[in-house]
Amino acid sequence: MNKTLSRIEHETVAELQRRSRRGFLSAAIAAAAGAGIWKWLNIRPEVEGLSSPFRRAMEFNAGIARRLFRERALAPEFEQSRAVRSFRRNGDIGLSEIRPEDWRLQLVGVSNPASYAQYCRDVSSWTYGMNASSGAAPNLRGTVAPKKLGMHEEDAKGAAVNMKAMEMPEDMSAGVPGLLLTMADVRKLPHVEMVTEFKCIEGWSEIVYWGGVRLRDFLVAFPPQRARDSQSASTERATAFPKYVGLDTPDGQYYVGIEGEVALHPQTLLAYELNGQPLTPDHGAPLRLVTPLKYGIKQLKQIGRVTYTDTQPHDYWHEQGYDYYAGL
Amino acid sequence: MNERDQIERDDESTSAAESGPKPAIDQPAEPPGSLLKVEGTELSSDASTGSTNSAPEPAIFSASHGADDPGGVQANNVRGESRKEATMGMTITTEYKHSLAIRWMHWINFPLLAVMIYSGLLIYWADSQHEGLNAHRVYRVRFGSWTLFRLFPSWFYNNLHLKFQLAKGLGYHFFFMWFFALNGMAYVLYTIFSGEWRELLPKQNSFGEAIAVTLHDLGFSKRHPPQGKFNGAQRIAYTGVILMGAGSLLTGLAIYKPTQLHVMAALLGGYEMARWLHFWLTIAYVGFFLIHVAQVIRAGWNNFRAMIVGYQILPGERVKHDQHPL
Repeated sequence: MNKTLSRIEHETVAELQRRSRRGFLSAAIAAAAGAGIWKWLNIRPEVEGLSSPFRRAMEFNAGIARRLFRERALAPEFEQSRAVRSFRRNGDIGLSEIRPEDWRLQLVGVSNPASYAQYCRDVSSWTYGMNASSGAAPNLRGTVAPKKLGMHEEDAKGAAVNMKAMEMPEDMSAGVPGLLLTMADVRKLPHVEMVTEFKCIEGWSEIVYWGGVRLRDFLVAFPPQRARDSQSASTERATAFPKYVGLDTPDGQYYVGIEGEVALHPQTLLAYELNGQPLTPDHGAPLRLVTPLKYGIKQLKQIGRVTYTDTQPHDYWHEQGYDYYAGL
Repeated sequence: MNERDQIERDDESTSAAESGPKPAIDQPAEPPGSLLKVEGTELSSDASTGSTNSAPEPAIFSASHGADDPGGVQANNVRGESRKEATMGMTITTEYKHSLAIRWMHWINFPLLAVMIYSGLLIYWADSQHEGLNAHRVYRVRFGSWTLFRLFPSWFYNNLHLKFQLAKGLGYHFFFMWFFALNGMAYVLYTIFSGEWRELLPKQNSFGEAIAVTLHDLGFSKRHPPQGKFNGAQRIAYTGVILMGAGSLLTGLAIYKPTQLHVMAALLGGYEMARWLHFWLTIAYVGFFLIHVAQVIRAGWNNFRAMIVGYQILPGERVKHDQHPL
C-alpha cells in the first residue's frame, strides 16, 4: 500500500463516517420526537374518558362522515331465513323489571303537549310500577347497585356504573310537561319489519329480524315543538327538527342521543318485535331503538323517555370514552 | 486479517479496481446517487463497515451481488489482467441507495403500523376475550372441526396488557389511521413520480428469481441470481406489502362505515368477511415483518445503515471473494 492510496481511503472512510454520524443522529432525534409525541398524546387532559387529541379526532371523523354521507344510504336488508334464531344478548345496563301495564313512554319536547289526551304536566313523575294498581314495592333493579354482567360494563375501564338521573330538559321545579304514551299509542303507527345486520362495537354482528314502527312516523304523529311553529310542509318539517333525539331507560341509567338525520332515517325503528315475537325483557321489552346506522351501544333497550332537543343529549358510552357519533 | 488474506487481496486487486458491476467513475460534486470511488483502499481496514468487515454481503437486501454472475467474473478477470499495471489497489465505493423520502416514509411507517396493530388488538380483544358470557366467533386456525389454535389465547392478552381498553383502542385506531393512510399514499405517489417504481415493481423474471433467491436463502441452492438494487423476491415482497396496505385501508373503510359504504362491504364479501380479511392482513404484516427483520440481519450492517444514512459501501474486491469464500 502506498501512502497516497491510504490517504484517499481515509478520506472515503471519513466521508462515510460523517454521513453515518449525521444519519444516526437524525434518526435518534426523530425517534425521540416520535416517543415524545406518543407520550404527549397520552397525557392530554381527558374529554369524556378519552385523551383530548383522540376525542377531537373522533369528532373530526364524525363531522366528515356526517357531511359526506348525510345518512342517506339504506342498509342492506336480508332474507328472513338468514336472521339468527336467538339474538345475542350483550348487556343489561338500564334494564328494569317493569310490569308491562306499568310501562309508559315519556315524550318530551312535543309541540303543544296540552292538546293531547296523553298530556301530563310532569312526565318525570311517572315512576314505573310504583303507581301500579297493586301496592307492590317498586321493582326497579337499577336503583340498587347494578348487576355486573359480562364484560360490557368493564370495557369502560372497569368503572362502576353510576346512577344517572334522566335528562331533564326543562326547569325541574316546574316539572317536565309532555306526553305519557302507551304501547297502544305506538302500535297505531304503521307496522314495519326489516331484517338487517346488527353490529356491536365489540366487533360481532348478527342478522336480526325486527318489527316495529318507524321513528320517523312517530315524529310525524307527535311533531316536535319548533316544527309546528315553522308551519312548513310535513316533509320539510321533518328534516328541520329536531337536531337530536335523546332516549333514556326508565331507571335513567342508560341514555343515548342520536342525530336528527338518524331519527328520520326510514330504517330507524322503535321496535317491539324480534323474530315476529314480542320483545323479551332482556332485549328491551316493550320498546327499543333499532337502527343499522349505529352500533348497538346506541340502540337503547327498554325506552322510558324520548326527548326532542336541539342540544346534544348525554350519552352513556360517550362518557366512557367512546365515539358519540358511533355511526356505521 | 491474516497474512494469507492480505496476499490474496493484493492479487485480487489487480482485477477489482475498475471492473465492478457498477463501474466506479469519478463524478465529483454530483448530487446523491453518485458513486464516490477511491482506488487502492483496503476494505478490511474500513472501520465503518462494522461487523460485516470484509465479508461479502450476504444474499438478500444487498446490492453487492451482481458479481455472482460467473460470466461477469470471467469478463472482469480478463479486463483486470489487461490493466494490471495501472491499478494496483482496491476500490471501495459508497453508493447512495435509499433516498431521503423513502427513508423517512419507511421509518414513519414502522411506528404507525405498530400502533395500528396494537390498537387493533385492543379492539379485537373485545370480541375474542374469554371472560364474556357468550361463545365468541373468533378467528382461529382449524382443520374441519378441530381447532389448532385460536387468536388469541388468554396469556397473550394478559401479558401484553390488552384487556378492557376497547374505547382507547378505537381512539388510537381512528386517529393514527389518517397518518398511516397518508404516509402510504405519499409513498406510492413518490415512487410513481420519482421513477423508483421501476426498481420496486416485479418484472417478468422476478418470480423465477424469487424462487431462486428463496432456495438460496434457505440453503437449498448455492446460486444467487444477480442482484440489482432489489432482487425478484424483494420486488414481490415490497410491492405485495403495499398492496396489503391498500387492502387494509379498503377493508378498514368497509368495516368502519359498513352501512354508508355497503356496496364496498358487499364487494369484499360482506361485513364479516371484510373483518376477516382485515384481521388476516394484519397477521400477514407480522409475517412480513419477521422475514424482513431476519433478512436485514442476514444482510448485515452495511445494508441496514443504508436505510438510515442512505449510503452503502460497494466493496470493489468482492469478485474474487466469491471465488475464494473465506
